Amino acid sequence: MTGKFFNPDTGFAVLFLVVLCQPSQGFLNLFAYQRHRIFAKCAGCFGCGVSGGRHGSGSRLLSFFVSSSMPSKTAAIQGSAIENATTQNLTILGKDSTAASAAVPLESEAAAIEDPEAVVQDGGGAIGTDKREKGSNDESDCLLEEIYGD
Amino acid sequence: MSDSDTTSFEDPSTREIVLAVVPKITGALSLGSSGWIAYNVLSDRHRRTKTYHQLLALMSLCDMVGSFAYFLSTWPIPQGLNMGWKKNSHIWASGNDATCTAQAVGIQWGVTTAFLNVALSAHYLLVIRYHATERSLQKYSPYVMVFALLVGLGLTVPGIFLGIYGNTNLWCWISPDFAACEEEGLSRDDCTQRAYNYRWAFYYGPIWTCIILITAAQAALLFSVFRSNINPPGGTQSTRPAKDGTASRPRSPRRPVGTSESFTSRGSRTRPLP
Repeated sequence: MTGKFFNPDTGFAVLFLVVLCQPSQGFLNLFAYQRHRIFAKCAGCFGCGVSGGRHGSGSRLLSFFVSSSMPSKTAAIQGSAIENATTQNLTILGKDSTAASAAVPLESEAAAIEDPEAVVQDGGGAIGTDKREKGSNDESDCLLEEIYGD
Repeated sequence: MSDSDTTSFEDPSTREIVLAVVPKITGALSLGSSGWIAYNVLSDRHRRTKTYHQLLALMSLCDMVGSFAYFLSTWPIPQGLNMGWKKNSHIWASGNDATCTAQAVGIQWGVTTAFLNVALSAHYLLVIRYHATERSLQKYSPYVMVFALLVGLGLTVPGIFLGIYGNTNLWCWISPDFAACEEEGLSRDDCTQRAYNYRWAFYYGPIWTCIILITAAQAALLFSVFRSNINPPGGTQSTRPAKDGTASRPRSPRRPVGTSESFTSRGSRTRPLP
């Protein structure tokens, strides 16, 4: 990039950086592909560790990444748990669960309520269609862990 | 000189070992990761049909080629070629000109991944911002994929005929061929400059183009997401008529369509089970 050819004697650090970073693209792709799992885990830990921390900007940013996998996750929750999951997802998104926000269900959730079976089949996210039975969800702060936790 | 001195980081041979070993680790990691993504997509019949996953699978397959080439590190470098910094043959170098060129082609092929990244970025933008349907995307995705592969070939194959691939100490890639330059009457500096120009033409230039395009697409995407968050809830719901004249489901003003199901067919969500 600099128009200079490096050798280990004069530019070992640069070359080390090159051999470390350049071949790592596939690994970074996997990280991006599985980001929802990773961020969900991080956000879950963060949410559990710090009470009320979900309303912070960092948490909102995490929630943005997490939200990209909502349909497949929502799809995993079936039957009577769907309604409960809807409320949970709104909370996970880092938004106040006010009447205004709750009144506008997310499209995926609306679809889930309409036809949960179809949504389950359309788990296009990376997580796919791993079905997790969540029969009776308690009101817990660790919502992400409850829904996404492995 | 003690043993600790000979194995210290100051010893160039130790550096050479480090620079030869690290690509094997990172390359293997990348190869495995890309392979996992490709397998994850291709093994699932449902994902195979989605544009997003198709792009991702193709990108991973292309990256596997590059990762494997990096994994080989110094192995394909022609044995005994005295271009190392210690006037020795490169560590573990046991190849010939053909293997060197093959590795260089593999590494150069990695530029295809960048173009597929642009396609993926455009996919995000089309789905999230412009609410493109899966059906419309599927109409164009084969052309995009073929185009990316052709561009990759166009940036990889000419180097073979130009004879610009050679030993670059870490692995084989675009390098100055001093022997050929000498025959052409070029000085060492001119020869180095020419290799540098080739690198810009075949690698850095296209890569920077991709970076600019991806940045622009992501900026537009970010802007539309923030704009949709700023919009007051409840006041922006619209029922955009579908192509067949029926009104589609109202969109959430808090989250644009596609942030959640951007990689799925919106039309197929309510499709009955096969």
